[in-house]
Amino acid sequence: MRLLLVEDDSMLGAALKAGLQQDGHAVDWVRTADEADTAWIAVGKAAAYDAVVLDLGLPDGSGIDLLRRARQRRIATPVLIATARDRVADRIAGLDAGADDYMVKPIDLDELAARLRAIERRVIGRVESAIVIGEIAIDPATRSVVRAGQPLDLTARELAVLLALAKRPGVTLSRDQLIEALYGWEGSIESNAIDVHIHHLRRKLGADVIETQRGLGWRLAAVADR
Amino acid sequence: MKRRPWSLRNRLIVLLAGLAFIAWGASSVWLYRTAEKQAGELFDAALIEAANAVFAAVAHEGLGKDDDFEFEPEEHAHVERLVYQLLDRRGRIVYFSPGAPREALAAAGARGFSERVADGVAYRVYTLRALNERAAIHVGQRLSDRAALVRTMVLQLLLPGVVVVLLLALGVWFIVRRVTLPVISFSQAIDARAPADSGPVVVDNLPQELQPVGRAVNGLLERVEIALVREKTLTADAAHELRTPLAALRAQAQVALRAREDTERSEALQALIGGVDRATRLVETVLTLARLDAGSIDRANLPVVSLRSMAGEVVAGLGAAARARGLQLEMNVSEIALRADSDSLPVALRNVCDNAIRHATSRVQLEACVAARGIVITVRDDGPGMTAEQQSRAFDRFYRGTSDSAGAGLGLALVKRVIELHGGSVRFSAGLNGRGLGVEIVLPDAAVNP
Repeated sequence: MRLLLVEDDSMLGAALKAGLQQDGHAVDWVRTADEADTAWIAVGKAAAYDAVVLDLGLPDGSGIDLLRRARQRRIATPVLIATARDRVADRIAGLDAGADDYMVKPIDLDELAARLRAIERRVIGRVESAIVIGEIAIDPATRSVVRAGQPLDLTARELAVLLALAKRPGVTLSRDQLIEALYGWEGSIESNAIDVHIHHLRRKLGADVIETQRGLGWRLAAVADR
Repeated sequence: MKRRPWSLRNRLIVLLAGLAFIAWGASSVWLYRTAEKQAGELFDAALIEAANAVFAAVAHEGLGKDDDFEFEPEEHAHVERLVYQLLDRRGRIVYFSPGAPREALAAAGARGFSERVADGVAYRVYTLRALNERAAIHVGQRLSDRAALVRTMVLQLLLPGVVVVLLLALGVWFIVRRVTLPVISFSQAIDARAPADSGPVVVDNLPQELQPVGRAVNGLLERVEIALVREKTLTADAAHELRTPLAALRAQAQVALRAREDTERSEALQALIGGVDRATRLVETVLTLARLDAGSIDRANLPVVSLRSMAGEVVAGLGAAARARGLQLEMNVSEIALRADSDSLPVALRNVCDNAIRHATSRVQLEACVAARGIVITVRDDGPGMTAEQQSRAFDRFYRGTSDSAGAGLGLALVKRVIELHGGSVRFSAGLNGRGLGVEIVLPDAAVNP
């Protein structure tokens, strides 16, 4: 998933970013409501985030206000509030302002990952946690991929590419879309990085699973066949 | 034992009703005396009349002889309460009415009114001497009869008074309750409020005399509300500032735990150590504040220190930080001796300078001089400054004005506490070159001449 992390505390922000990246997410991290506004709300529907992890106590304004602004602009990006405010009234206010989930600090990274997976399932309307495409089964919770009963060993990036493709079955994703989904704002990505991941995936999954749409990008062949 | 507070309402009712009873009692005594006197005169007149009537009868019937006379008395219905005796020249009782005593009703030779006990009964007596002293007539009335008659009369006169007094007491009770009703309902309105409700009480219905009370209550409620909001903000801020470093520690530890590569793990562990250091600093600051809160400084017994050398040490300690940001750190402190706590005052100065260094664009200036209002220490920078809203809360604990992840919003709170303990004051002033922020500390002029 491509995530926007809004957290003003430098240490906690760094830790959350590192933890989310360990789960294979692409994370953009901003520290103020202003920056979050620029990265998320100001660009409107064009914002490519799959979810926003939002702290409430921001130095230049409340995260709640930011969330309300986003919902007023009809921006439906799922929002998970991660805050130190633990009163029930705060939780209710957060959820009523438009949040999809609410976590109180300290935050367990595994729980955060699970809640993000749940949000993802809800967004694409899936019931089971595992994604099954042809003879490939992907379980985002355990980060395991099985092909015809055989477990496969994928790196975090490879899994991220596969998940990005599997999430929107039959849809062709361009190189830029995949880069954005994998790397966020990180610069200096080698131009053939995506090609390398695709190459490795084909070797592990079988050559016919990922189909190249010349000049457009890639999609899962197994789905296209159905 | 707890004494019940006195009641305005009950006291008014008791005092007013009591006053009515006393007035009634006094008027009753007066009435009784007047009635007694008037009745006494009436009774006396009746005695005279009766004596004359008896004389008339005696003169008519018994004046045949010179010395002795025979007398057949008539029964007079209207004098049945009166008794009389008829005496001859020698003072012998020749006749007495039924119920009259055997003893003479008056002393020999008496005339007119007298009082006498005859046969053990006290009488009021009128004596009429007639026929050239040949005969005397005593007409008597029992004193107890007279008193009983007066009592009956007076009691009948007093009865309407009792009714009036009772009605009056009832009226007092009713009026006092009615008049004090606003007081009662006002106190009930305050009493019935929810504990968290600090909105104003309605004072429009209160009488003029209670308006100031109502306004005072509302003023108090308003101040409570402000304090409450401030307290809530403080609690929320403190929760955020204390939990966040711990949350960061936990997250970093988990990142290290989940790391698959050694470099990733050691990076996370490095960050974890940094986090522990930061949490330690936070705890130290909170403890320092707690110590400062608990204690007070005995200002008279503080050591005499040189402000110049103290400021010099602070500036030297911050030199590296200023150079790292490419700032010019200027100090202009004259030689001032003052009584100060050599532990806490340097910390306060360092916090103020540290803030300035973190926000300045190019320059930070620390100055101190002795002025009429005391020792004035100013620290000014040319940074972005603070809005009025930020300034109003900047000395609050756990308040962070800007994105400043290094602090927990305790720095200026600590400064304020230290300066207050020294009997001084701290406020914001103008920064450098028409921008930035200045912090002005005024300490009482405790300068001592060695």
